[in-house]
Amino acid sequence: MNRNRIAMLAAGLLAFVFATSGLAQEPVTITYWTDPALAAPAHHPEFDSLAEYETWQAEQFMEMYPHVTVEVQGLDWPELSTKVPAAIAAGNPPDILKDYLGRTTGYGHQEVTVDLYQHLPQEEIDDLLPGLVDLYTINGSLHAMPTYFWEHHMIVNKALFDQAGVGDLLPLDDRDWTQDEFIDAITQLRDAGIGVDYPFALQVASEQGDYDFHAFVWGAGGDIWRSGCNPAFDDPKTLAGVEFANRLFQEGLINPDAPTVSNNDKLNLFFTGKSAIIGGSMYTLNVQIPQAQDEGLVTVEMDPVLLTYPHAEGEVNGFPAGPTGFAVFDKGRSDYEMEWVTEFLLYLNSTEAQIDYVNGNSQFPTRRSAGAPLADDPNYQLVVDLIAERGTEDMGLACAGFYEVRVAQPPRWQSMFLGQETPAEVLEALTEEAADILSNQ
Amino acid sequence: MSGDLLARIWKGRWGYCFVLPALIPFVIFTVYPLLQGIWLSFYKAGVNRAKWTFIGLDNYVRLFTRDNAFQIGVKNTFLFVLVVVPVALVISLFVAVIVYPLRQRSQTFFRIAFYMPVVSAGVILAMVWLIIYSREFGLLNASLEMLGIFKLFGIDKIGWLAQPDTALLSLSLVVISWSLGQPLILFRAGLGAIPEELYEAAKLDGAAGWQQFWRITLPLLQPTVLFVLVTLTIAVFQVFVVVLLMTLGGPANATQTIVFRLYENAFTFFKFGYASAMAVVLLAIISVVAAVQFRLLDRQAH
Repeated sequence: MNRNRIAMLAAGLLAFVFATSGLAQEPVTITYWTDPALAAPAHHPEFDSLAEYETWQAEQFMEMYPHVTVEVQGLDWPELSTKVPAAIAAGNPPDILKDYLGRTTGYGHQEVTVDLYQHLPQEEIDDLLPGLVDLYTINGSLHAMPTYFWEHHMIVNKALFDQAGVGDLLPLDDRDWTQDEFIDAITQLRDAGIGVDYPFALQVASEQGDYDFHAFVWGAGGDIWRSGCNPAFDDPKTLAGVEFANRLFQEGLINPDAPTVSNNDKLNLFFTGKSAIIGGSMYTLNVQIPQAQDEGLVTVEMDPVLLTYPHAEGEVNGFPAGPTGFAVFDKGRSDYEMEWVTEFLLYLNSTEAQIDYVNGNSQFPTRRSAGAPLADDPNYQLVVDLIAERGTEDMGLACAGFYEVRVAQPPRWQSMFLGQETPAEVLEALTEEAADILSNQ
Repeated sequence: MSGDLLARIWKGRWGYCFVLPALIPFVIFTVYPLLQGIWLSFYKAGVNRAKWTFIGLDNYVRLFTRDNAFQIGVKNTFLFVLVVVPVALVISLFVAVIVYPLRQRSQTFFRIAFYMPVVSAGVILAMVWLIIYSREFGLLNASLEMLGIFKLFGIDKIGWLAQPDTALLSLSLVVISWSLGQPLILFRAGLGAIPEELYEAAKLDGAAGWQQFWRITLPLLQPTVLFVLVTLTIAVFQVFVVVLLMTLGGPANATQTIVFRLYENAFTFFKFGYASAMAVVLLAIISVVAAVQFRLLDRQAH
């Protein structure tokens, strides 16, 4: 064998080694914990649940990149607040967690998440809605990547108003009504004697019902949080809003078991016609109500329409909007591992994945490139138009101490409804409590 | 002294070897977390271990001077104990005494019936009770309405869990319903250990059934009563699941308890140090109460 042949053989061997080394990369394992509470995308009928869909997503990724192993764990609601913090404190968090902003900010403020500004390509960040990027930025770090958001409005069963002969009192032209118009309409509905005992179904049993309640505050021009993360319980307009909600309760226009009723029972009041109005999102309108109708839970004629919450004269109330995002935890991983975690994150939160998800759950995408996936739905378009016209409300989701201040509120609303404290006393107590909580962060 | 101790340990070395398999997991899973919890209670500790800071007694000071919800929780927890423990103790003893003379098959039926809630998932039981208590759709209100009770007293339907004056009692009833099984089994076993001759002698002396119960059954069941009392008290001090699933401590903190507040602080606010301080306070309360119970009843039992 001459030298040339040997050199050629060696070169060929080297080329083979280089080529194959590109394919057989070092294995990476990514743990992905998610809250699969919502529905699977509508155009993937092969999946019964979102958990199945998300597992399938991971499998697709693993097929594309065989050296990557993705371990998906679907968590339920309690696990999101128990298993995750315990895992973080134990030094063994997941690589990626999907959870809503109110909780991921807690992790962001504790500095246990990775700053995604350092890892996401600029064009990916530019594709996200700028307001959301700001909301997710804590002390200059992008603590998570937003993936979708919901908004909150009133859902009114118009059929019951029509039956009571007061359908014309609903502001269907501009979807806007004042507090007086609202009280007039629901009082007439209740007094018509068609079985609508408590026109507005509310729950203040847990913090999960607070958007329903806060909406009355925003309607009065008040706030729960001022800009700069300062609680606004001492705002006179906040007091006016709380007094308005209390008036509704004391006049029997809100269900009397609001202090402890479960969310399911609140929905049942609406489904059975004991109430004609609930607070909800596009998910309630497009998924929960049709589902309840299919399951035979709706026992009255149902014609749900979307309205804004009532407002005081001269005030314009916006929509609360709450995003969910993907947080990546700091685990001291190598650059190579981080590269693949980022790759999987971008896959999970791609334009296509967002469109898939939004279609199944009537949420709103956070990427500009996703456009308006449900543009054919008139209600969806209506919400988009109303948000453009009225703006959104600051829920304080990104504030340090947000969750603690949030949890402090329901007992106070409950004691006000039960007549133990006046609205002014409640807000005074909350002002003190919030100051104490924030000083102890 | 220490030489004596070492000599005694050495003498009983085989005995220690035999208890070691049980002792090791106990130390790892009970003693160590307990000590770790006490240590953590002196820290401001969140999810980020790198930011844990020693703050001495600050957590304890805050608990007793500024945390109104915790203080209400302490009061409510004592109320739970005062309501649930005596009622569950008396009912389970009563049922055990009634059931004991029945035929074996009937006894088995009652034992299973009362033990069922102990082995059932708390979540399911809580859901069932939520349906029972629901103001609008509940079985309880529907039954009372059907019986004409509301009309008779001229009152509206009752929000059992929505009113502060009924919420705690309603939850207590739930806790009582699933606290009967274990004591019932223990009392049944205790009754079986009482010699039959004592009752025969009492009958010959003309003692009535009630006198037999007071003079023979109850005194000889004292060790079982003590055991049930202490374990039941400890369990009820830790009441949590019913609160989490049924009221979340409401309305207006009327069903707030120590453990629920602890859970909120640990897993909602990520304040592990502060929650640990609550756990230590609960440990101290339970220890004192159990010690008092032992002291009072153990003397009588012997």
